[in-house]
Amino acid sequence: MKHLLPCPECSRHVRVTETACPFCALPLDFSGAPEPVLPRARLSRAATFAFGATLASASALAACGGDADDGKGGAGAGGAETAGNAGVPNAAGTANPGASGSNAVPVYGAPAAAGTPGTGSGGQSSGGPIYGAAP
Amino acid sequence: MSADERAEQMLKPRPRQLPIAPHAPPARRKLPLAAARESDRAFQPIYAVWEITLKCDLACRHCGSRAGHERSDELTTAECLDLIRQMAELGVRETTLIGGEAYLRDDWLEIVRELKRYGMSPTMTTGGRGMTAERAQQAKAAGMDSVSVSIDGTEATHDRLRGVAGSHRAALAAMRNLRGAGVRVSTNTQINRLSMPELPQILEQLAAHGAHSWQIQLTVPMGRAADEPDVLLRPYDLLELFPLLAQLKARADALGVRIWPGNNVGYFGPYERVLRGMMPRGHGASCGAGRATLGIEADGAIKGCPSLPTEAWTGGNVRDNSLREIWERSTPLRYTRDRTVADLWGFCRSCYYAEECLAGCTWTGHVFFGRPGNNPYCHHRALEMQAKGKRERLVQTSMASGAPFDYAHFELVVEDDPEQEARR
Repeated sequence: MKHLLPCPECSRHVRVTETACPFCALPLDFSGAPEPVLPRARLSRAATFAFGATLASASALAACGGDADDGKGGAGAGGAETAGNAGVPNAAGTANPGASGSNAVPVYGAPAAAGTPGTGSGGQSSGGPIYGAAP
Repeated sequence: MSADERAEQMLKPRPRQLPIAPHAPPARRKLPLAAARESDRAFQPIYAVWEITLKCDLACRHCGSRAGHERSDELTTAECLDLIRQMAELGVRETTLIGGEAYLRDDWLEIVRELKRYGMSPTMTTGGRGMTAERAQQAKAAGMDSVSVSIDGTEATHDRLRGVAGSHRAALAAMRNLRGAGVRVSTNTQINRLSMPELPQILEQLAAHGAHSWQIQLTVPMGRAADEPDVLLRPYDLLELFPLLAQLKARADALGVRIWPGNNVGYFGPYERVLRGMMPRGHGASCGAGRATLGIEADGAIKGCPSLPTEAWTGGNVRDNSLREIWERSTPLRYTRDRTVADLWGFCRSCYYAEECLAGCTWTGHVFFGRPGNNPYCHHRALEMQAKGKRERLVQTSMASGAPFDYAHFELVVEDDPEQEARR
């Protein structure tokens, strides 16, 4: 499966193999985009979140910056382009001032977290059970 | 929802044809297990949600388990303690106690202490009605790491949805009591047509009460929620909801509150990276029931997720088999490990995100249509419909039976979007 990155124009996630966004038709070139770095050990939910946040922060520090808040969403954190990905337009999901959902926090390309290979990493889901609680 | 419609809904009495709190049937026992497979050993539950009693001191009108009375065959203290040992051996890192109302079980603090002793992080979700200062201090002393208090609106809306006057004030008092005792607090909110307009006020209130996180989830038609379908969001309401959530994410960041979307808040619309950018892939994945999460009912029934309907999704009972045997060898818990795009149907089958999403929340699809694999609560889907000048509406075709974890049946209607029609 090819991983997904947000389109810099419309913010919809698209496969890195796309040459044009299937939603807004923007020409794309993700050929230089690195594979996402995933935790190699089994992490608790809080640790998973912290892992992602750490990578996002690392990416943000390397970002081109700029106020991308269009008033619709995001924290106004500006865009973020993964270090080492120069020359690939917005490959890591740079927030576009005209795009909705501007809190770009890509988590690709940052160093892997220390940890031993574990099991069950495929079990990470997109959130918690509905009647659970935030960690 | 118009002001008149809202006023009508706010005053609408409960449906009278069903008991508010029915007694749960006895646990299904001695369910068959399949032969062991090596592949199942790759999956371990990281997170468990454990209904330790079905007894409850609220009467929430959206309660999926129709909680109120304790089950007739709830686990004994000794059985609970042994289950904790098995959970630890299986690799569970964190356990959230729920009910009913977890603190109504006499040995709830003993359970918290044992979870802590085995190195698991004990947390809890509560309506908060009886979370006194004394209980909060006891929870802290037992090792409770964090408690999520349910807040579903401003006072009038919350009390209407929770079914008890004064429950909103009690919930806020619970947050104060917990913080006073040194327990970290978070908040969880059901999103439906009554609570959605009040989400901004809820955020301000929970931040003022020191919540570190805000878990949000969409109300879906299971249990009592199935009795009042007019309160549920319509699929096209997500077109309004997600821009609002993105705005709230910015505000929450400023307030220092982490928004934690439940698994049925999705999927893959333009705000995905706003809401789930902190996930390792930068976006959500699919349902983790039976892969990373574990649901336990008070009578020892084991499911992949606590929300899933008991009848169809119970893999076994810890009174009959070990937790590991049920986790690795029951067909219901294997569901998300084995399914593929071929198991999807309807819109989700041919969706651009089918491989990654796999129809999102298994529970949501099941309680709408009686089987998973097609999920009408999806922002991407609503956007695709909108692009074609269409929208989807859910029409209830049969009532729920009135038992805990029951659900109604709905049919999907695709219709021209009248707003776009009017603009033309």
